[in-house]
Amino acid sequence: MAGSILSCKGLTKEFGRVKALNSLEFNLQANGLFCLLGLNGAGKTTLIKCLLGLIKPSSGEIYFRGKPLKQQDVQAHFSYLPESFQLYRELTAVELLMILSLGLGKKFVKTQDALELVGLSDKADRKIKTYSRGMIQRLGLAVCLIKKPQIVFLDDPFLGLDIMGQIAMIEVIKKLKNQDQTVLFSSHILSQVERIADSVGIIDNGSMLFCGSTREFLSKNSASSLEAAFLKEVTSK
Amino acid sequence: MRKIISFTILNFLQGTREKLFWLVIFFFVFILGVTFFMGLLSVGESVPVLRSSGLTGIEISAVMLLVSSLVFNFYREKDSRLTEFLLSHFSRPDYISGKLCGYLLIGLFYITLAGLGWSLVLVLNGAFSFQVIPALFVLYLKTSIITAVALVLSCLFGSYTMAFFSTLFVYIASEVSRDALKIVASSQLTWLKPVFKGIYYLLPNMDKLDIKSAVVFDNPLGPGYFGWVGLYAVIYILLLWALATYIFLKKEI
Repeated sequence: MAGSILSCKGLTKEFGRVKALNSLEFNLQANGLFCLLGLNGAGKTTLIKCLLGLIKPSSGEIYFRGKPLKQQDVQAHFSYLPESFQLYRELTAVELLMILSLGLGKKFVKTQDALELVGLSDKADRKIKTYSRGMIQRLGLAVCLIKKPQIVFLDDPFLGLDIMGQIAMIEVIKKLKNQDQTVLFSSHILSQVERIADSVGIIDNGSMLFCGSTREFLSKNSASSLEAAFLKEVTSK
Repeated sequence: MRKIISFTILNFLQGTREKLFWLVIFFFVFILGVTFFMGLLSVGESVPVLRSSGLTGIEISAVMLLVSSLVFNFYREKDSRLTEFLLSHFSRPDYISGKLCGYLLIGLFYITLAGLGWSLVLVLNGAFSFQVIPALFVLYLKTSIITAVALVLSCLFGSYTMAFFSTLFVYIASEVSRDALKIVASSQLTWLKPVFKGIYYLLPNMDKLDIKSAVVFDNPLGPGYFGWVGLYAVIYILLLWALATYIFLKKEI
């Protein structure tokens, strides 16, 4: 581990009378796979959106490498893959990557590498509207990779994918880890999370119940599986 | 700038490859056919009829294409979370600028295509005049202003329907505002005059961008006119762009 890359203190987000995030404290270590776990409506997506500046927190601070996070940091160092998102349907994958790499100031060769990494180089000339859900997710990840981000945010990357799609996605996420990138992802598929996550954060009702290594989490709850530990953590609160 | 160019290309390619674009082209070809037959039927008046109906057809189809495509794609990108995805790579002003430039380019592309088709019909009927080119230029300015209005209203409203119909309302209101001002001038209610005058200056002054009668009756307009209307349209679009960017910066995605 290479120290904290992203942290937040007292992060609160209110939507009217509803507190989606409640004085949340959180610390993300560099170069690892961190998974946010929580029930539906726990605040995972709201937290990710706050970290990306898509929504403004009601109060609290966010730090990137020890300094207050600026919107320029998000565009320069972060990449985000929302859950069940779509891309420009009438373009081919190679066109999309070429145009975006022009905007991001990267060379075309990087787009080829990115397509190779996500296993789509043989389907690069097909229109995106012909892609399956899993292929769109992987293409989105290729876009994320062309700017070599320091942190990749993946919101429920396995949602709507069949088992083959999930396996392909896991392989790509593992490759990111091997390239010394920090990945923050949320998921409901605990069996997959257990296989790849170095650390986990458990959110419930907008508060972080636990934030630490997966091993610590299992031993804290005296459980042999992530599912059992998660259920214990959430129900014992 | 590189990011804006990249976004412009994305919006242009997506917009011109959609079914809607080709549907409007098909609709315009139908209008051209009707124009052609109207020209045949209007014995002695075929030239003004061909010119006037063709220009009206281009304007209506261009406004429908640009407004519906921009508004629909803006909300589709938001609903399908594409906006969230893009905003992790590009700033909000880049997003708005790219979208506006992309649709201004689509407008230019469509009006050029439609203008060529219309010119062909005019040539076949011996009604062509080089007045067609400045007429298409002014028409492009009009549709560009409406495109910018559609962008502002898309940023402002939470629903597709509201943004779409509000834009059409602004378009129609700006087309009739001059006549409304004339009617109010003869009204007994004195307080109405400054109100309508304010509304008239706030809305795009489309009456100043209407050169249909000059084209139809071959009355050439001086270069000074085109300079002024060009400047007016650029300033108006820049103001709307600034407003759209401001609203979008404040918006939670």
